[in-house]
Parts: sequence; C-alpha cells; structure tokens
Amino acid sequence: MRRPGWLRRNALALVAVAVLLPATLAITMANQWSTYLTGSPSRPLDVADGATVEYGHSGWQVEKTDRVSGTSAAGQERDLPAGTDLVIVTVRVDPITFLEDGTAELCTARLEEDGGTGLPRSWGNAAGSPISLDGPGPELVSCSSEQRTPYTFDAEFVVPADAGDGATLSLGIAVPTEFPDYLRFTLD
Amino acid sequence: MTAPTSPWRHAANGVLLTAILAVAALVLHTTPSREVQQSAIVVPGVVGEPTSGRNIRATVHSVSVAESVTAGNGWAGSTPGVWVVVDLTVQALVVDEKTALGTAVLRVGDVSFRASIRPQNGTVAENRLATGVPLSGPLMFEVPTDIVARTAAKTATLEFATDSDPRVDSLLVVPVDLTALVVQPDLEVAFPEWGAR
Repeated sequence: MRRPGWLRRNALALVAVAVLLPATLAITMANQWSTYLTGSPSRPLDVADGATVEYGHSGWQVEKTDRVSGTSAAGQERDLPAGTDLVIVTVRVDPITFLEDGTAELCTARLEEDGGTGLPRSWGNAAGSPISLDGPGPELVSCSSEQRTPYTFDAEFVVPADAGDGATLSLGIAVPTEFPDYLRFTLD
Repeated sequence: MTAPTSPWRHAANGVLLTAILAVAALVLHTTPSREVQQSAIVVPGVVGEPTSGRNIRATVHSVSVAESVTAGNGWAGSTPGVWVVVDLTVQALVVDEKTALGTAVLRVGDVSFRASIRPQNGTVAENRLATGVPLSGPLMFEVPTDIVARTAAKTATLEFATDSDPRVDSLLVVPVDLTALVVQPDLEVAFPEWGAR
C-alpha cells in the first residue's frame, strides 16, 4: 500500500499552525489596542439634539451654541486672533450622585469637526489654550467639583474661521471614570 | 516495509531547503533596523512655502544671521557667537492636545543646535500649537561664529516637529544656505503673534 504524502501526514499540525499563529498575533495586538483605547475617550455615545442624557454621575444637556466672529465687536473685545472665531457651547449639568469624597466629578470638553473634505480636527477648551483671551469671559468654563445642584458652564473654543464649513461640529464631554465612552453632542 | 525514497526526492528536498535558507537570508539582511523602522518621516520643504506633516504645518519666511538680537519682549541676546534668526509660522493641523513645537533644530553637517529658549515668550520655540490657528514669530539659534562660514553651512537644514522626539512622526526639513547670508550687527524681531498674517 502506498504511504500517505508528507502534507497529508502533517495536515493536523499545519492547520494548527495556520490558525494559531494569526490568532496569537491578533490577540496580542487586540490586547495592546484595547489597553490604549480604554485609557482615553475613544468611543462616542451620540446624543440627539437638545436631549438630556445620563453619563457618569450626572445628567448632561447642551442648552445652546453661539459663535462669535473675530472681526465682530464682541470678537475684538475678546482679542480673538485674526482669522478665528470663538465657539461658545452652554452645557447644563445635573449632578445626580457624587464621588466618595462628596465632590462632583470633573469633565473634559473638546470641540470636534468631522465630515468635511479634510481630516477630522479637534480643539481643547480655550481656558487651557495657549491663546489667551481678553475681556469678560464666562463664570464657569468647565465642570465644577463644588456644585451640588444643576448648573451650566460655557465651554469656549478658538477655532479657525473655516471650522465647520461643509463639516459637522460636535461637543465631546468626557469623565475619566467612564472611559472609553464619551458623550458627543452634534451642534447646530 | 516501506519503499525506499527515490534520489530525486532527496534532491528536491535539498533544493527546497536551500531555497528556504536563501529566502531567510534575504529577509534577515533586508529587514530595516529598529532605528530605521522608528525613524522620523521626513517632509522636505523650501523657504517661503508652507510644508505640512501629519499634525504640523510650518512656513519659514526668512533666515537672518546677527551678532546680537532683540526680541519682541525686550530680551536682548548677547553671545560670543552669532544668532541664526528664523521667521516662522507654525500651526497644528488636526489636534492641539499635547501638541507643541517640540523640535526646532538647525543642523549644519553633523552638528545640530536647538532653538534657544533664553528669550522665553519672545520666541515660538517649544510653544504650544493650536489646531488651524497659525502662530508667527522668531526662532533664535545661538551658534559659534565659524559655523555659518563652514562648507556644510551651504546645505544646512531647519527641522521642525511637534514632539521633542520626532520618531515615527513627521519631521519637516527645510534647507537653508547660511553662507549666503550677511552677518548683521543687530536685529530686532517681532513678538510672537497668533492668527493669519
């Protein structure tokens, strides 16, 4: 009787190598990606316009959005750089529960642009921006750990005048305890 | 009892083994080193034109050489050497988070000089960047007097990146001919300014 060929005799081992090698690589890479992604706000939870949503220890709602041109009187009063606008998003926060030390949770607000012809762009809160603004700014520019009742803050963003042209602007709200989830409010 | 293996089968196995070894040697000798794998992605530019990388766009408007320089914040720099002063516009392209002009280097041959931070806020060196909002201002490189006259100064380069370690990210490289520049006794430069020029 003719002896089976080498491939047939080692078929099981070859199949095992063909399956296990890519599986090992995939699991290793997925593990590293997972560690990276869960450490930052990387998974948006889209919120309908005007809706209130519970996230972390609070309820959240975007009340209104304003845009101030750098060439307007209000823009000049804030000393906006040439060719920029100031986007102001008023966010209502309703603290529901509190942290172990009794304080309210802090948050990070970022403005995101997506869907245009270029790459997605984002901006940090003007309060932490290297561009310093003049004039009377809002009383609260981000979440407050002191507030125990519903309140609002005005997140300000200095953006180029073309931000949002043919693209969608949205506000991202993130609290560290909920990473990688973050809220994404589409702005008018 | 099994049939004896034919000599052709032995020969075929030998050829296959040799081929596998040859391919392994080829892979071994052509695999880029770790240094190459992690090297910066060079984006060549020219003076006067914007050059864009992954998250940085920069324009070198002009380059000057001076014995002393006065910054827009009033800081006056004296040096036993000379100052190479660069008028630069720079911005982040996609994200401003943890983004600064971390690399601003003048390279002459195999010698490199980081932009001075002695003028503090009178320079754009190490300044944080904003997405889509240009920042214009000077960079000052303090160099020995003989550097600008070296042969290598004809092919000097300015290098810019958003991190002090530009590996695996864009590195804008703009060539400048330092030997063609006249050394000025004194130079006054403007204070860094945000916004379109």
